[in-house]
Amino acid sequence: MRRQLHVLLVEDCTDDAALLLRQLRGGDWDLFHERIETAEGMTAALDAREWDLVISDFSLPRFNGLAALAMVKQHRLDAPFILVSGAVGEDIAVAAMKAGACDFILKGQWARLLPAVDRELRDAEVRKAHRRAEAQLVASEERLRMALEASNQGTWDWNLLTSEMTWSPMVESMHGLAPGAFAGTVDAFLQLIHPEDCASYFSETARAISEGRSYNTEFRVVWPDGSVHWIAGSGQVARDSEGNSVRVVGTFMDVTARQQALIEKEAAEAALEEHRVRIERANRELERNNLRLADLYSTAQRFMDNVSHEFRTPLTVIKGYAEVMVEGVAGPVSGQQAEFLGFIVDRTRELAQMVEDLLDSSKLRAGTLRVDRRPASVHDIVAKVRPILMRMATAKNVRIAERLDEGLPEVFADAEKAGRVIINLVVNAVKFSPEASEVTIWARHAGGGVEIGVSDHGPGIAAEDLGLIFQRFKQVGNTPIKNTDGIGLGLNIAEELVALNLGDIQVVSELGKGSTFSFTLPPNDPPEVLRRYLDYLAVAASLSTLAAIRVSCHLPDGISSEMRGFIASAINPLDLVLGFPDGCSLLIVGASADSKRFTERLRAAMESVCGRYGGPGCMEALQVEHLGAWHYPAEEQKAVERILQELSQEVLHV
Amino acid sequence: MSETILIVDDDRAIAQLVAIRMSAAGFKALTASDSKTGLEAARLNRPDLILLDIRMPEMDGFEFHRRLKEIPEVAHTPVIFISANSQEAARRKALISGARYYLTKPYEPHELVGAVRAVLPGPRSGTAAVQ
Repeated sequence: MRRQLHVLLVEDCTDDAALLLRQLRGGDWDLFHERIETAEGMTAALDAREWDLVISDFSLPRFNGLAALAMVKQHRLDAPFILVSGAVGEDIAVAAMKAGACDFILKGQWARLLPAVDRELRDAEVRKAHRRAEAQLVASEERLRMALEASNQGTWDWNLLTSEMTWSPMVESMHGLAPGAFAGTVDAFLQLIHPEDCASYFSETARAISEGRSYNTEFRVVWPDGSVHWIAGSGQVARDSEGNSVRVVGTFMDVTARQQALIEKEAAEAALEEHRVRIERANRELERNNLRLADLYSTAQRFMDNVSHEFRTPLTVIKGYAEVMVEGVAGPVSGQQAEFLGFIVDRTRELAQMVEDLLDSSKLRAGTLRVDRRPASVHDIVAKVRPILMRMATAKNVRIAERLDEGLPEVFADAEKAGRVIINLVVNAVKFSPEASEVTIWARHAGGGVEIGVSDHGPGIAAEDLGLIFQRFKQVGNTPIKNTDGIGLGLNIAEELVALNLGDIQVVSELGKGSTFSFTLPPNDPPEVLRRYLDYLAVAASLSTLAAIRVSCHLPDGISSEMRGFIASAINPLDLVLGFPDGCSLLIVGASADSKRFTERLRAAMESVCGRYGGPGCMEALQVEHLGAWHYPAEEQKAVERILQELSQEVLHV
Repeated sequence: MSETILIVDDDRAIAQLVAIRMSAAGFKALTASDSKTGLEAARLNRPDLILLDIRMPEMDGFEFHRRLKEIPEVAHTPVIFISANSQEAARRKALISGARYYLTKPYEPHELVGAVRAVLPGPRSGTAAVQ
C-alpha cells in the first residue's frame, strides 16, 4: 500500500498550484492536498489535521510565506516547509532559511521540487524518530528519578575535568542542604563528609577512578546542624574515547535509619548475649550450689543416722545393765547403789531421748517419719508413758498429777507419737518447774475429739516470746531458772508430731504464773478425720493430686495386723489410712503423684507378704482397688464426696 | 517347759544383756556372737524364737534370716529383729522378709519381753500391734 502524502498549499494562483501538484503527483505516494490563501484559512487547515508537507508561495495578496512559516512553527508542526517564488532576492532566501524553511525553489525550476520534497520528507522522518527516542529517554529518566526518590536515592554527576559536581535535590536534602544550597564542587562535598570517613571515601573513589570501574561506598556526613547521617552510594566511572576517566555518575541513599537499626540491633544482640552468658554462669553456679547443698544435706542426714545408730548400742548396754543391776539380777545391791543406778538409767534414757529427738527432727525435715494412725484410747496413751514421766519428775523432785476426764471418746492417732508429745511437754514443764512443785497432765473432751494438756508452775513465758516457742533450736532467753539446758528440740518436735496427728498445739502462759501447753487429737470418726486431714494437707503440703485406694484383706487374726503395719511403713507419711469398722478394710487417701502405679506396687508387695505367711486363702481375700484420683485443690469436694460415699457404704455392710 | 530363745548379736554385752532379760522372764536363752555360729546353733537347738541383730560382720541379719529359711527344720522359726537402725527402709525390709517384730535399741525391757511373748506360739501369744 502506498503511503499517503497530505500537502498544504499556500498559493493564490491556481495555475501555479496546478503546475506544482502535477510535479508532486510524480512521487511515490497518493497525494491529498488543500489550498489556502489567507491566514485564517491557514489556521483552520493547521487545526484540522496533521500535514506531511507545506509548500508556500512567497508572496500572496493578503498573506506571505514567512508568516505561514511562523504559523507552522507556532503549531509545532514538524512537517517540511518549502518556499516557492517567482523572483526573489538572495537576502529573502537567507531570511527564509533562518526562519526554518527547508528549501527555496523558484517557479519554473520545477524539476528541483520533487527531489527536494523527497529529501525533506526523509529528514522529517529521521527527526520524528529522534524526537520519539528523546521522549522515551525523558520518560525513562523520569521513571528512574521517581524510582530513586521512592527509594530515597538521589543522583550526582561529577565532572573530573572541572571538579564540578551536580546533585539532585534529593542528594542535597540527604546532606541537610536546601535545594540549590550545594556549592557544586567536589571539594564542597568532601567537606561535608565525616572527618573519620573522609580519607577512606576519597581513597576508595580514587582507586575506582584510576581503574575506571564502578564502586560502592558507605560513609557518614555531618549536617550543618551537627547531626551525623549515614549515606550509601554507588558510582560509575565514564571514560572518554582515549580511555581517560572523565566523569563519575552515581547515586546516594540515606541509610541512617537502617544503620541506626543495625547499631541498635547489634547493641541489643550484644546485651542479649551478655545476659545469656550471665544467666548461664548463674545457672552453673546454682547447679553447683544445689549439688553441694544436696550433698551436704545427704551427708548431714547420713551423719545423723550414723550418729544415732552408733549412740544406740552403747546406750542400750549402759541402760540395760544398770536396769538388771537395780533389779538385783546380778546379785544384791544396797539401797544407795540402787538409787545411783537409777540415776544412770534415767540419764541414759534422757540421752536416748535426745538422740531420738535429733533423729526425729531430721526425719521430720526430710518428710520420712512414719505415721501409723489408728483408733486409740487417751488413757492407754498416757499409761504407756507414765513410768517415763514419773522417773523424770522424781529425778527433779517434781510431782506429777493426772486429771483425765471420764468417758473420753476414742481418738484416731499414732499413739506412740501422741505419747512422745506428752513426754516432750512434760520434759519441758519439769525442766522449768521449781522444786517440789506440781505438773498436771490433763485431758478433756474438746471439739468432738480430745484435748490433752500439761500445766506447770514455772516462770511463764512473756507474750512476745510465745511466738518463738516452737522454733527449732531456740530457747527463750533470760529465764530465772538455771537448769534450762537441753537442745531445745522438744517443743518443735512436739508441734510437728501434733500436726502429723492432725491436731493443733497451743500454749497459754502468763509471766510468774506458769504455762499450759495443750494439743488436740481427732476423734475416731472417719469423716471428721478426713476433714482434719484435708486441713492439714492445705498447710503442710503443696499437692496437685488427691487419690484414694481401697484395700481389703479379710485375713486370719494377726495377719491383718501385720498387713496394717506393713502398709503403714510403705505409704507416704502424708497419706491417710482410714480403717473400717470390720477392722480388715482400709482406705488410703493420699497424694502420691502416680496413684495407679502405687496401687499396683502396693498390691504386688502385699501379695508377697500374703504368699509368705498369709496361708491359704490370703490371696483371694486380698483386694487392692484404685478408687480414683482428683486434682487438688480444684476437685477436693468431688474427692471428699467419693471417699465419704465409700466410708458410708462400708458402715452399711457392717 | 520353757521355750528356747536364740540370741544372735556380735556385741557380746548386748547378747548377754538380752539373755539375762530372757532368763529373768523364764525362758531358756542361748547366745551366738556371729551369724555362722548362730545358724549352726539354730540347727542344733531348734529354738522357739530367734532375736536377731542386723548389723553384723561377715553375714548381716537379713542374710542370716534368708539362710535360716533354707534350713527345713528351722525355716519357720519366728524372728524378731533388734537393731540400732531406726530407718524406715530397714524396718520395711525386715517386715517384708518375714520378721515378726522390729525393735530398735535402746528398747524398754517390757517391750522386749512383750514382743517375745506375743510371737511365741501357745496360750500366751496374742495379736499385739506391730511396733
